[in-house]
Amino acid sequence: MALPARHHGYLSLDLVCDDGRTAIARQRCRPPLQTFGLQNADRHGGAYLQILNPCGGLFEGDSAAVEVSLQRGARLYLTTQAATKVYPAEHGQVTRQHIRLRVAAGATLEYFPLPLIPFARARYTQETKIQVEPGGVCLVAEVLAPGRVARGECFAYRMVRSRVEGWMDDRLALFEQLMLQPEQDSYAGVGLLDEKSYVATLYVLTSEDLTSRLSGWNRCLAGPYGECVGITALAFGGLVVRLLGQTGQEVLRRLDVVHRLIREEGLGLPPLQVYRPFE
Amino acid sequence: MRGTNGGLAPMSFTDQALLRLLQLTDTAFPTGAFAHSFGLETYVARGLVDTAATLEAFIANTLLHAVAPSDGVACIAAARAGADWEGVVQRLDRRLTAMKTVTEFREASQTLGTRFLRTATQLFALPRATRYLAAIDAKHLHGHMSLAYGLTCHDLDLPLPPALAAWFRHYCASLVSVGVRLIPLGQTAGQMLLVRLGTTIITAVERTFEQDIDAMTSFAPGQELAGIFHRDVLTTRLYIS
Repeated sequence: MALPARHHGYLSLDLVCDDGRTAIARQRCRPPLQTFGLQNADRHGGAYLQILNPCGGLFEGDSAAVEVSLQRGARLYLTTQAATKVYPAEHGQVTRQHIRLRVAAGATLEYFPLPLIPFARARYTQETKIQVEPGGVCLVAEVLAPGRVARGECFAYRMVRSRVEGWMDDRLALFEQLMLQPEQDSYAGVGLLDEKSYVATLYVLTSEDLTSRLSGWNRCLAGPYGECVGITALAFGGLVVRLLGQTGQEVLRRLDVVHRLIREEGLGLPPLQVYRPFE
Repeated sequence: MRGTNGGLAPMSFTDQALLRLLQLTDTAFPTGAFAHSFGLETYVARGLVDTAATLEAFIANTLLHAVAPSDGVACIAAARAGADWEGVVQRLDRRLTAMKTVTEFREASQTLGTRFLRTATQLFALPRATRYLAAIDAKHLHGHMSLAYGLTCHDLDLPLPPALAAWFRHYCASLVSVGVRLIPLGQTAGQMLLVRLGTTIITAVERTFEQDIDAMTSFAPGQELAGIFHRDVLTTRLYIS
């Protein structure tokens, strides 16, 4: 039986700095992807925006594309209204999401979608491409849940593939690709998830040199979080934070702590004054 | 190896190829690999690797999910590259540098690769490996162990499936040696562990040959955290990584 035509959601945002405040210069969207209105993220001109998908998730064969571009001086904290739920691929068709982020010099983009929850039998692939000009900053978080844990679904999905490319001034600064197929392999063991269920990563692309702070931050995080949060430096500037946790709330709180540490102590950004569901 | 070898070409050796392969993947080959634990020292210090079974799990998991699908794929791509090999190696060298997010692991790959090339190019006539070393010395490329080994295999015309198996076995043997010293385990227990890891090595070789460059992956967050803490948190260290 042929699958009905699926949604191909599209969201394109272009943000500028207008007299010290971040504003949307151009927005195009195709259902089901939409946004709520732009709000203040802080008292210093930063903006906060939620992406909304009223379908309640991505279904088999769906394809979604998000493109965000920040011009010089713009600052945006971008999140999703809910977790990205990926429904089962009963006919074997892959659900796809493409994310493209461009950050100009002097601009700061923080992309913190809520967790990705692949349901049992889901097949999902996501490609994220980040381009940052010198002097720009881009922070991108990824949180992967094991499934609908409350329904007893844990690593019951068929496939999750995620690819992240980060380019700094036309140089490949970051390349990550994972392909998880829990039917073929277990990822629980030592060296992999260390018996944890949730894995998160925070990518920080910046030309600012933060390496001198890493040892102190890692020692500071090791005590309370039992060596489940660690920050490392990329070869050409920028950081990667790895996080493991047993529950979604646990890993999101840990992500929040390390995010604040890096953005406020490291990058000197003003504190965020936005609602986050895990606080 | 199994007779069918997962659909790969039959493994055949000349006597000379066998001897060269044994020499290049000997743990005594002077690359400095014996000084790296790739996060294992942190696991032992935390008490999470404390038996032969947990050591086997660490080695097997990291081989199958980090080393084989990234370095293994890069190694085979470098070894099989045609006339445009320099472009292929340049792309892989940059991708590996961007993929190895943990500083200790990235530096280990670069150090081991460069030392491997310096010794190997003195022993044999290796045109491509020599060009790669020159590009590293000129700081045009970063230098990674997997590419150094892949190009050497090409230059010596070594049969690739056994060459990859030998390199994966070298990874396993190095970490077994670390585990034997740190846990500690007996030498016989270490050798028994290497025997058991044989099945994993063959699986890793088969999976590596199924992937192309675009499908290079790595997923070992626990090992990466261990690498981060090895550098910044562990107070007593016997190994570089």
